[in-house]
Order: sequence, then structure tokens, then C-alpha cells
Amino acid sequence: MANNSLNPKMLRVNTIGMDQRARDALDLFFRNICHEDYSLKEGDDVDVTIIDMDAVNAEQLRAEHFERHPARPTILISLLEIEVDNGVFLKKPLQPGELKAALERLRENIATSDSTDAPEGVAAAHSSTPEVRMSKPTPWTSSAKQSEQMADPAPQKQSRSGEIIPLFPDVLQKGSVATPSWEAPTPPAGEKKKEKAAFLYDPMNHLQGYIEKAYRIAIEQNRNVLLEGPWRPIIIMPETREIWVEQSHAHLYALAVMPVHAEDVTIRVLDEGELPPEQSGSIQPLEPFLWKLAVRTARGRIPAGTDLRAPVSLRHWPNLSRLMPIRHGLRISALWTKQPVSLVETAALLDIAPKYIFSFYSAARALDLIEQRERGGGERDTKTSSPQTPEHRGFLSKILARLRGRGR
Amino acid sequence: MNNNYKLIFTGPVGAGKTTAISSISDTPPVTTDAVATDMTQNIKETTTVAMDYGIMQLGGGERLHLYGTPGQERFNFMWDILTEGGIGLILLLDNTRADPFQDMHFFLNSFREFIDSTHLAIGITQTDRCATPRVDQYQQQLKGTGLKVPVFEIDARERRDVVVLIEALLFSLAPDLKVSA
Repeated sequence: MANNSLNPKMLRVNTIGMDQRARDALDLFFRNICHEDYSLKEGDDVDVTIIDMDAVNAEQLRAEHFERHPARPTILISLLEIEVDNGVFLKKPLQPGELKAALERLRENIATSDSTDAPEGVAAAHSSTPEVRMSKPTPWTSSAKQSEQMADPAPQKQSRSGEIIPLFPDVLQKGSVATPSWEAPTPPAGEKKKEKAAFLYDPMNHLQGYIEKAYRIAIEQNRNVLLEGPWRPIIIMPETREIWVEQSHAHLYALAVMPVHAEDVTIRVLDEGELPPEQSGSIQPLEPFLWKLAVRTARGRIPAGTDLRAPVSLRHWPNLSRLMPIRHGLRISALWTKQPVSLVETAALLDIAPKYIFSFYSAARALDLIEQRERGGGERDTKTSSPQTPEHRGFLSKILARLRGRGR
Repeated sequence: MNNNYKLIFTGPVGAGKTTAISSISDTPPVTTDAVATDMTQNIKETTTVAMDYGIMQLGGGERLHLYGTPGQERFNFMWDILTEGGIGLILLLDNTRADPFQDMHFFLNSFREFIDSTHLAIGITQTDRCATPRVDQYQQQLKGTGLKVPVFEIDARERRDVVVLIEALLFSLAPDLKVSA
């Protein structure tokens, strides 16, 4: 068993089959959210190993790992429920509470096995904590019934607001954009909150909300604003509409999905002339940064409180040539600058999946471009096109095809 | 069947009309550049005195004609002729000019009838050389005109930028437009 010389509580973790971006996200999670109860290590002298079973050669990596360390507590993660006969299985997208619960359970098992000399892996496999999907002593395969029996309890999966927050979904969950249906089936009473959260999120539980808030304050007071929290300092500069960040953008975007608590954040209006240090960090236009951050945070969801059936319009077109592309963003912009249309109607009129509309809505809202009216604001024109002959429309379609490299 | 639709590019001298047409035309554009002899020579050596012309082949004998208007105001008389049969207007504005807002309003007024009967997309060029005014400030200026049109920063040399601007124009005409097979 590896010992921790710095922090006796610190659990040392390494990963197998995980790409660098996912490792960076995990590292940030350990450092910023878990207050260094865990530490991501490069080498093999660790307490716990996490294996990404979606890696190309995952089976081989797993076999080699257990051959070398048959007793090491191990967490296997995958998009699909997989057969696990040794270790703990967590299904992607990882939930912060789930991962922490799994690590804490393994910590207990390590302590137990230290005192009893029981093999680590066996100890983990036999534990029956209800907080995480623990593997059984004998192999099991996924089935609806088993999934129900092993359902995750809510407390570990929820943030303080009750929102379900997947951990590193961009990184660890392929096809991570949520695909909600308009009318979710009515869940059992106790499940209502959980169902609702599938396509709703609260920006104020994330870095996005605090950057938006700091930006509003900066604009109102026309002064630079310093934002501090579980990240390195960020300065919003309203005059030039720029943002100064000390941390790499990759780290900040990885932080996007992590829960942030209000008590950990401070926003301070800087004195006049108080500028970011020239020697470090980078300055970039605020809007592209915030747009991208919102897309990464929303992942196909919309902010809680959004009325799906209330008409939406854009104050003006976003500067789409310099913003992170969102599929169908041009169509949605064109429609929402032409007339107010609800999110539900937008999907029907443009015949596109809600996830793209949600992503666009969330990003545009972050830039304060959204105007949303009350429902029932009178009759609206629901025609999407200017009067055109079919011939003319056909011609426009051909131009579009040609611009996109088809036709001719 | 009308297979001779036009897309019109306009804007002040040096805004990148010729370059934008070059970036999407199937053939090198025909230009009518001449050595600048007036104030224009302070901006560039040659300037378009009649028009630029490019072409985009669409298959089945159909084509989109790309016309660039001359930048100087003394050629205004050509603009009505050029816009006939046009599907929309691309207005390019040079952000390094002394008063790009004034340029914008001038061209909006000049082409207002055509814009109202078709649509408009605005590309702001040279933002790498002069970052202000910002795009949101152009949008503020547009508020008084009743126009809600796409305004994008573009580099006229980049096909991708020109394409996104034209696509925005097409979707403004018909948001539910789909790519033909």
C-alpha cells in the first residue's frame, strides 16, 4: 500500500486509457473541488487506479493492470454498463458525488484491508455501499432490472441546488449533448426534480454564471472587475469588452461543468487604473469566451426557468463568424431576428433537434441577446420564409449546397 | 426559368469587395480596375471603376453572378442597373476608415429599396488593423434603421468568412432553407 507523505488523508490516483484532456479535468476536480483529498499521479505508486473502458485497447489495459496489481482498488468507467468482476464500475457521465463516494468507499476499504490484510480488490468488490454502483463478487451484466436495483441515490449526484451535474461530460462522454424530448414523461412524484434536470441547468452553479454576473457589474460601473473562486483570477474589462485570464483556456473550459458554490466566489470592482499584470495570463475578447463557456456548460441544456413555449427573439445577430459554431446557429438567428418564436415552435419550423436550439439559446442568453415574451402575446406570423416562388427557393438551396462544397 | 440570379457586393473603396468575390468565384473575377488618380490613390494603387464580376456554377446550367459595385460615389448611377435581379446585398465596411458608421448609413440609404425587397448582410473588414468600432456598436447604429441584419467581422481573403456571411443572407431570406441534394 502506498503511503502519503504530505497529506495522510490524500488518496493518490492514477489513470489508464484516459486522454490528457480528461486527465486535466480530473486533476482540476481533485484540486479545486475536492480540496486535495485526492491527487492525480503520473506513476504507478498510487492507492487507486481509474481505467477508462472506452479506450481503444481498454480490455488489454485492464488485463495488464490486474495482472500487475490484482489487489489494487480500481474504478472502471464507461459509457456502457459493462461486466465487472473486479473493482468498482461508474457509468459516464461521471457525477462528482458518485466519484467522490466511490473514492471514499475505496479509502475505507483500503483502511479495512490494511487492518485485516484482505486483498484490496476483493475488499472493494465485496463492499455494498449504496452510494455507487459497486460490482458484485460475481460478474454481472447490465439489465433494466439490475440498473433499477443499483440506481444511484440522489444526494450524491446533486449539487446544492438539486441540479444533476455530470462530471467532465465533454471529455468522458461521447455524444454528450443532451437530447431531451419536449414533453418528458411524467415521472413518479419523487423523481420529478431529477427528470426536469435532464435538460435544465443553473448557470449560477457554474463558472459561467459568475462571469456573466461580473460582466454585468463591470458594465454597470464601467470598471474592471476581479473574479476569484476555485480558479485562478479572472478580470473582466468592460471598456474593451475583454477578459484577462491567468489559467489556460483549456482548464477554464474543463472547469465549466464543475459545480461552483456562491460562498467560494468573490467579485470585486477594481480601482481605476488597476490593471491585470502584463507578465502573465492572456487577454481575449470577452464575447467569444463567454459564448464558448456557455456552450460547454449548457451541453444542449437550457437555464432553469426558461419557458419552452414563450416566444423568443434576438436583440440582434451574434457575430457568428467569430464565435464557436453551433449547428444550425445561422438558421436559428435568422428566424429569431425575423419574428418571436418559442423554442418548441423553432424545432418544428426548422425541423432541427432541440439540443441545437438549447445550445444556441443558452449561448445567446449568456451574451444578453435573448428577449423572451410572456406566452399568449397575440397571434404571430409563423411563416418562416419571405414570399418566394418554389423556383427561387430551389435556387437558394443550390447556392447553399454549392457554398458547402456540394452541387455544381 | 430564370437562371441568372445575382448577388451584389457593395461598400466603400478598399473594403474588400474584389477580394471577397475572388474568394468564392469559380473563375478569376473580371475586374475593371484602373490606376487610381483621385483620393483613392492614398488607399490603394488601383480601384474598380465599373464593376467586378465573378461567377458561381450551380449545376444544371444555373449560375449565380457575383457583382461588385465600384466604390466611388460618382458611379452611383450604375447601382440600380447592377441590382436588378439581385437576390440580396452584401455590404462590406472597412473598419479602418475615418467614419465607418457614416459609410454604413450612406450605403443603407443608397440601396434601401433593394434591401427592403431582398435582404442584407454586413461584413466588417480590417478589424485586425482596427478593432473599433466593434460589431455590437454597428448593431447599435442599426437600431434606428429598423434593420435586424447579420453583421459579422470578416477577412475577405478567407473563403470561410465570406461563405458564412452569404449563408446568413440566404437564411435571412428563408430560415427554413435546406441544402438541395
